[in-house]
Amino acid sequence: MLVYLLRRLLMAIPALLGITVGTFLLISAAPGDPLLAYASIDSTDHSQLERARANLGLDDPLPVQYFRWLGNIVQGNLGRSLVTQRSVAGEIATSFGVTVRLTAAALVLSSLVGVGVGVLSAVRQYSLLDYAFTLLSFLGLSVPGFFLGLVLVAVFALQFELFPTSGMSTLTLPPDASVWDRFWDSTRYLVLPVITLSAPNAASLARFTRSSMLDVLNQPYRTTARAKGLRERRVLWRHLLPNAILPVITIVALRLPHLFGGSVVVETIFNFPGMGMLGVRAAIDKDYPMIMGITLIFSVLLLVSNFIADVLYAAFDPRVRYD
Amino acid sequence: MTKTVIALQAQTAPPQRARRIWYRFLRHRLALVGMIILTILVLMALLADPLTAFNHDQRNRDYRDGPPNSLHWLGTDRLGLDVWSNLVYATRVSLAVGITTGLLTVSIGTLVGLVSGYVGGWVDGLLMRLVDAIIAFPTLVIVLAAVSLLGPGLGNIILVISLVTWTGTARVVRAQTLSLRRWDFVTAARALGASDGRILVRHILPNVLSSVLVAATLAIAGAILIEANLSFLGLGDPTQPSWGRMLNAAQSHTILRTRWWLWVPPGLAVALCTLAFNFVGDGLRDAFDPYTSS
Repeated sequence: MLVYLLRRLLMAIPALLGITVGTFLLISAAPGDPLLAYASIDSTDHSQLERARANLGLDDPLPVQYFRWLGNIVQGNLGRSLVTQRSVAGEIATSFGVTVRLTAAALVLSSLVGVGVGVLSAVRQYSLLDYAFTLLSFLGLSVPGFFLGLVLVAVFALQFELFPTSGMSTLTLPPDASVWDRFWDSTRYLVLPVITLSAPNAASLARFTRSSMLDVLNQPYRTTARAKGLRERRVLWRHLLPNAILPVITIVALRLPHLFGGSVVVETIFNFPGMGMLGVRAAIDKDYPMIMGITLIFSVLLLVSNFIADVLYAAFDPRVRYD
Repeated sequence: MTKTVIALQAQTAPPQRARRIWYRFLRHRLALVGMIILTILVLMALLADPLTAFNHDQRNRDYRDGPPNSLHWLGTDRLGLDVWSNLVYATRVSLAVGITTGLLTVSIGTLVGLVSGYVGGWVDGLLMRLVDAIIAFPTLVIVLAAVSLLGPGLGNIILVISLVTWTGTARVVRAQTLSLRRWDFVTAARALGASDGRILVRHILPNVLSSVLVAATLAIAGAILIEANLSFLGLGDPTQPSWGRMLNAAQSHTILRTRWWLWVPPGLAVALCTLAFNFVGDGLRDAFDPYTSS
């Protein structure tokens, strides 16, 4: 098992390098002279421009520039934002937790709902419930996150005032509020964003679980289990579900990019100061170092999650060989 | 002699089979609903001029922020722009972006998949590592970054989405090509002296076309959604009317509470359009291959 883990880790290294090369190429393909971002340089004075270019190493061949950039990244230096002049790594560090909390909550909620709905649909195939769930999952996959988010805000935050419209916590909370109060407060702020982010994910998982469960329902070991006289409930929970859920782990991992993409939109709607919101602002401001840093961190996050999914799959499926 | 044999083999879908697929598609109720929605949307896009009384950028200074009436079917916004006209012209843009991107992304994917699966070896290895590398980036994040760097023209948006999303089609086509190239009819064609190019185009391509068609339909839905997301986030083409941008402009609480006509219609339009393409894609998949459910 340990050897398997190490091998998987080693296999992640080329992917990691690929991500850095891709990000770097993207930034070098961008039109415009990065030097002009420095207001202190007089762009009409050519000798000064040349000198600054040489100082910053912009005359070097691309591979040389790439490795210097890579060296900086390994040391945790992602450069400075062109707009705020603050360190990109620092800005990402403060917003990282917000995004991870949001996506993790959505991942848990959508997995529970998606698998539950999928199993119910399959067990009652072609029932009214099945049709209703199928229609709902199509809706979940098709209604864009920004529209769902706005509908939820209009109905549950503005009309019925059940949840706050945006932000992460109540600013006017008394300073002596207990831990429990603070937790409850921030949870209320999470409800609508997490539902918005979960919807497409839950829909896709439900459809996949349904078909995976239907496959399992026709297996001979189901008949065997029933012939032994086991109760339907036990057959479902012990014999069918574990086999049906196994491939779902892979799908959960495959859905992660969508989850991260969705968090960009959801953070913008609900004014959540996470990496997604940071990325949108950077994209609008053409803040190159920030865009690069965020793309890089999102991709690494994805890589790590895929690694975890692989490990989980191996841990749950005894058929996966470790050699 | 050689010619007739190959010509006979090239007839992959006799009319009877095509008709059976068509009937199976029609029986799929959701797919039919999707087709109806799509027909309406396409008609809206084609007949945009006679359907609207105003240009999408024409302002009515005497009727701003007004609710729907007989002149402005879906009311007007803060500037006095007619919402219905904007919606109709945005349908044209969305469908154009979706279909162009869908065709482009599926073409790239099919080409890569065919070559990768047929040639194999280091070419296959290289192309599949490229696919892995592209999949390693979250789609919306990388599209956002690329469009921001290249500038928000429609051409750039189409190009960027295509370059990021072809990987799914490539994988499907590659997998099918891998198994198809071992079939007897391919060996027979080769024995008759058909070149690799001819085998790929005349013998393998027709057999993967059904999956490609399904992938294309779903790719269009995906592209429309990504474009809407981009314009919602403020990175769409500012010169074109767009559903996403209409919602972007409508994020204030006053609008959400009191002016439904500004944000509900464009939101429903994106949802219905994506839903319709997804329905049709699902119906096509079931029609081509009645044995797989999902």
